[in-house]
Amino acid sequence: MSGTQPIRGTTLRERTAKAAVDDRLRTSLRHATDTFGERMADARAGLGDPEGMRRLARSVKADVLRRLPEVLSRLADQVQARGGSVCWASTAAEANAYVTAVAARIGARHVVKSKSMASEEIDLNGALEAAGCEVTETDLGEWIIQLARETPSHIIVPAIHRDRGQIAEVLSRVAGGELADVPEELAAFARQRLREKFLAADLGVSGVNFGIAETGTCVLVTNEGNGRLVTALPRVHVALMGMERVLDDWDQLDLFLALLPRAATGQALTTYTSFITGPRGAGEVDGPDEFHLVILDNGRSEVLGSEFSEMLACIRCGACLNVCPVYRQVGGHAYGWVYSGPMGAVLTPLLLDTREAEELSQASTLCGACWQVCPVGIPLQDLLLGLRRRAADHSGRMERAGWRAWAAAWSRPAAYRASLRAGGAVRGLASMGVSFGGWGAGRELPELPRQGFRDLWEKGKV
Amino acid sequence: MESGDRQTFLARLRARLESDAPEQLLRPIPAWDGVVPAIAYRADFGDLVDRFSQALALVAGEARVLSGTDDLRALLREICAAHRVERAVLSRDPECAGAAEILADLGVAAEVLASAEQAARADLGVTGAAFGIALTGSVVVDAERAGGRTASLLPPLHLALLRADRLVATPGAVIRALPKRPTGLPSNLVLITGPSRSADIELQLTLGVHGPRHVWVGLL
Repeated sequence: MSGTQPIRGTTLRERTAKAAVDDRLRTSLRHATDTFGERMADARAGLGDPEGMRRLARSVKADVLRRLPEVLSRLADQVQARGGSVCWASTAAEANAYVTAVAARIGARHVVKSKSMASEEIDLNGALEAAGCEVTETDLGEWIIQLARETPSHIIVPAIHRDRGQIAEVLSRVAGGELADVPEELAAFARQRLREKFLAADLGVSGVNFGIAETGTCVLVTNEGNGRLVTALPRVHVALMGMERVLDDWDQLDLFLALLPRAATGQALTTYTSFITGPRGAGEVDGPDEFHLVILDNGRSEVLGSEFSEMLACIRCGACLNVCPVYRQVGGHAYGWVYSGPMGAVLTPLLLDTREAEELSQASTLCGACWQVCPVGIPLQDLLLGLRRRAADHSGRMERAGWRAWAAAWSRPAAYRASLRAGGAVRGLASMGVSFGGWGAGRELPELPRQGFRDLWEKGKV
Repeated sequence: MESGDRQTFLARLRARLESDAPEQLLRPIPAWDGVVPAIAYRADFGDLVDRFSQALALVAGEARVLSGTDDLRALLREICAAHRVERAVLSRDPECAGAAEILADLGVAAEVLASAEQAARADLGVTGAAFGIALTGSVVVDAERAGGRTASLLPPLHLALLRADRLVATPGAVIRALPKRPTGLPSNLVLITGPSRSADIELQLTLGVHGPRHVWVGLL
């Protein structure tokens, strides 16, 4: 089973059209995004200088990214000094091959996972399942969409597009009997069923919110506690980290931990903030025998040092989704892949580099609300504009030739007059190969008068 | 152990960083002097115990000031009666020293943490905490000190015992001190802020999804 195939065969227009008529989806979205937006604003108010912290976080991230090779090298050394293993995965295939090889070596049959967007990005579940493992997502929302064979529609609450009735339906299929559509009861069922999975699992896979180079520590923030179970019960723990998620030290972590949960859920801290440094220590009765850190590139290095490099500062809080006028109407699935909202509209084209992905930069009004709430101050609307420019550069040669002809024609009076006489400026553009594409589909070109202003003027009739 | 080719991986990054790609930044990034100053919070830290108790109550946990063994006995009796506790698991933190005997007196089968399977069978987990954070109502549970990770995680009830003089004001006071810990970092360290929670179904708050449903912190 795989829910993470990149956008294929559908267009942004088709996906948004589908979402826009789904009233239940839009009600759920409005409720979720409004609630998160309010909580985020309340949480920010608890900080003495939120604007100063945002500026600082932006500078710190840019600085770390400029030194990324040395910072990652230090992280890898420290992880190994504490008895952990490190895999440098340049591509999704390399990361998947490494994790499936670990699973094969230990004879793993059952894999439990806590939420990891990077693992969705590389379709690690698909790879592990192809290798004969049963993979269970253990975040409640992720489990629901795994069972429903969907992708996350929100980075923090992945199943937000489903209401309690639809969730009860999905879980009832697993229970083999009717479950009431009461959140408490559905969660109790999930606890019991997933607890069995945890106790039977051989391999735990988690993401990484922050890697700390100074000590080789991986930081995980969760609320349900599944992140702790994934990293405490199975005998092997593999942590998958996008290479940009590294910080130098614990002083920086103090700053980013003050920003992330406030922006994500409006909490001062999530229920559990785990610091994992290597495998189980001497004298400890539980915890994994092996710890592995997979450092994933998968297209990120192409972004590094480009005009879009600030996107690598993203800490995946989801704040930009909640305030985006486009996301609020259409939800995450319209973005076609695992990342959604403004951050998804920037990141997806950068990582996938396909035509289907490129049009995502159009899924924005460029209003800048995303930038205003971004806890690390990424100017998302500038990046979106840059991506539109890039998309235009990639677009049809005919169109560019048309515009060049237009520019040439209209810069000389004689040619300009000729072009007008040839049937009018707008029609002239069309005749020169300028395509009006989707914009033209809902519009008609105006009828032009037989005699224009210039003709009338020359005949003294004005 | 190391897999994949570190040199190739990092060389690719260096090449990207050295390329003179157009930096079309409309909003230049301010320079940074390398220092992360302490985080300023809008909060009154007057009395750390009060502040801690209020913060913990906000996240559906409960703090109790325990003046002596009798107070601990009373709290354990209350918890065990209200939640029909039959089995308890205790961590090896020094704060738990007297709790096993009290629980035995109450007719509860209390054992020191020996395995995750044992913790999974317990109704109540009792652990110590290395620090408490007043701003957020968090306790810091250290796997090396506790002898494991699961006593605070698998049972549906969790009681953390914390010396009141181990309360600090902000997360930064703990986080920034960790790399200076004399014996190095433990394999696992967790800041626990109230009971396990989820909002994955219609954003409705549900407690105890995977971790404990009830969390008490006894301040010694």
